[in-house]
Amino acid sequence: MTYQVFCQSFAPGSWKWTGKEPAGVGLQLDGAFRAFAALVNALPNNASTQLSVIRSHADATANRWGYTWQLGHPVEPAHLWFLTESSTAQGDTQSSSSAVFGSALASTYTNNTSNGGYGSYSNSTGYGTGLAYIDSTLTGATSIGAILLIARDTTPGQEFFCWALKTHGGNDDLHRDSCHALYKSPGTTGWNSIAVFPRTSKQFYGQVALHGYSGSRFGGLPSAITSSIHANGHQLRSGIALGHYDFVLQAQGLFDSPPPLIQLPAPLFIGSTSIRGASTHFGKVTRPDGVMLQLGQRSSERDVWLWVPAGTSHNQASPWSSALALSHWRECNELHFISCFPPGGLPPQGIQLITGTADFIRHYPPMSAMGARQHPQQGPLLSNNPGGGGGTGGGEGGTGGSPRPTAGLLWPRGV
Amino acid sequence: MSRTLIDISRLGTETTWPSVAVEVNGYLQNWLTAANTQVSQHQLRIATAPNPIATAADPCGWRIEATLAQRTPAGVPAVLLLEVFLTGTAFLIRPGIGNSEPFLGIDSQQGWVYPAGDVGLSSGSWSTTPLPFNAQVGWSLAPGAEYFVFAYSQHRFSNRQAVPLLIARDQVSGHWILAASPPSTSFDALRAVSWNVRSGQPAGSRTLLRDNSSTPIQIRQPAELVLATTDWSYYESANEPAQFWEPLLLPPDFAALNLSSGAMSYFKPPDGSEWLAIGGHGLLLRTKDAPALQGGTVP
Repeated sequence: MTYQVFCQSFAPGSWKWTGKEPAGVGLQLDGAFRAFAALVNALPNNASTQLSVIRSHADATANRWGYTWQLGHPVEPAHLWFLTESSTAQGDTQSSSSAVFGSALASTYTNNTSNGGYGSYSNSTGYGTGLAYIDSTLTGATSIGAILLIARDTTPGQEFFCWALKTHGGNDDLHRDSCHALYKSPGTTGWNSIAVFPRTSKQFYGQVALHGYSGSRFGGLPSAITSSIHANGHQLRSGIALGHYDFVLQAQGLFDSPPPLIQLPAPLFIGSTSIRGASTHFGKVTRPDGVMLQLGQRSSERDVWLWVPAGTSHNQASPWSSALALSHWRECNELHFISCFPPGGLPPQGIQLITGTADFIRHYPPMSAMGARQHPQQGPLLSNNPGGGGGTGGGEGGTGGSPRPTAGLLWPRGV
Repeated sequence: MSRTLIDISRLGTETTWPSVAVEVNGYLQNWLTAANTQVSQHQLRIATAPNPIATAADPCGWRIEATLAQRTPAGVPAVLLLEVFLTGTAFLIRPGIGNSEPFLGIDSQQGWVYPAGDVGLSSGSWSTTPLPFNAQVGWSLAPGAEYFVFAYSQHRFSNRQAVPLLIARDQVSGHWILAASPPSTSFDALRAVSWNVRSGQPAGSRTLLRDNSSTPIQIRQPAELVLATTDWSYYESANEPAQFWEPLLLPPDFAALNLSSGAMSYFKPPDGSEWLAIGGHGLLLRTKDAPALQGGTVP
């Protein structure tokens, strides 16, 4: 089985995002990503979409901590990063962004030790976000522990890598369980990304950042997630088509073939659990064929859950272990999971887009002569078509005898 | 693909609802007979047909029933119900689940259960002002993708555009979806009822899944109905277990468009397919297939 879910725990006192200890969370995440990258880079279909690590916790020289990953692409590679920018314990007092989730073309990168060792970009996009309780050695956070959960699939065509960071201890309202996934979507070449940083009543920034990378730019995929995912009713969905790579015309010209929609990765279920009922975080739904785990948390932004089919492997060397063995999870109810694929099975049913932008859907309103001419039923009535229809003839100025009846039809008018 | 689309448009001055409904009912009966032969595990029935001599004060329309192989917890076949009635200018749509077949609650609402907490009655209004009556009836008997649809438009504003009947096979479960959308400007005026296999209970919907019109105009396939789920968490004492649902998907001859009030507009995307907009809420009906396989790869 190539789909694996595994995790490791960091006890209060040893949980520290802001450090480069080999057993610390930063380098453990880095190691998990490198292991995934090595496996998928070796797949023939990824020859032009290689993943690599540009920066990790090991490169940090100041108060910035995080990673920069390169997404390979046949046109031009790109970078994605997640960096915390403050070393204070984030929690109840958080009133501004303390982290950034960003993206840029690889060609805009200056590979030096500026910005805390992470280098600089001449042109980049960033979303403000934050982590809570990033260091349990600090005052006020000494009771805080954490888990790092990794879900990955190395099946060709459905490559998927997801990390989730969940803190525990102290006041449940103050945690901020975040998640970032890289994945392939059917019909697209490059890597797609979804990052979910929840927001509770105590937090300043929440963020759902969706990216598709087309080789020249990152397309935001913001729109459909609000309308596609029911705002209430505790519905969580997976496999749903989210939007295009891009919502402007390609700089080089016009689409004349339908750009495919980006789908949410099949194992991730995203939606709202904001009303009440669901666990604050560490929720779990047990089924005969698998377990659903809450990667996010109850949030006024989006919650995110992970499907772990029965028999999912966690075959990784210590200190990695089964996520299901943790005692933190709490059985949840009052949730609705909606997906196209049977529980236990992947992938979702393909959802295909017909066409991309307004410019290339030709729209013929029926109440215009031009539109009526294009209409499958009204059009033939207007055109001179001697062979067709068996109409009563006597066309309105037509040379061949229109099949349009001379009486009984108000619309469309003859033209 | 075998599909039929018939224009039943007529002059507004000559248009009365009973005459329209009776004509549509003729097509519906023929299609329904064939569909019942093809889909033996689901029997469709016209429980009430339009009354040809209805006066303006008489309710005139349909009650459609679909008996499913699926049984209710009480052990009787589940019956999907859809009522579409016009009385005067009031156009009412009521979806439901019956607990017996034949459904016994004819004269009362006893036994009539709405498919979800917020999928109840929906209404619109019929214009008695003489207006052009632009109407289509379409159907297909393609195995697995059967549908029957009746749509009309009296003018280009969405309070005069409706899909009074849509009977289609859910592409996920194979059960019938009974749906109707009244002439109404409400974006979620549609009502649909079907049966969800995975959760073992009725599934209802009140809207098509689509983007809002501020996003790029797109034709989205498959056409999906947003499931209406009752939010039990409002009731402190309720402790409903988590449920797993499959989506409701219309046959491939349907798509969703994020434009409103474009009924009877015609759309030609670059792949060569052609689509007719029906109703006031973004539903498209395919009139021509794309010549080649769709798809492609973004570089």
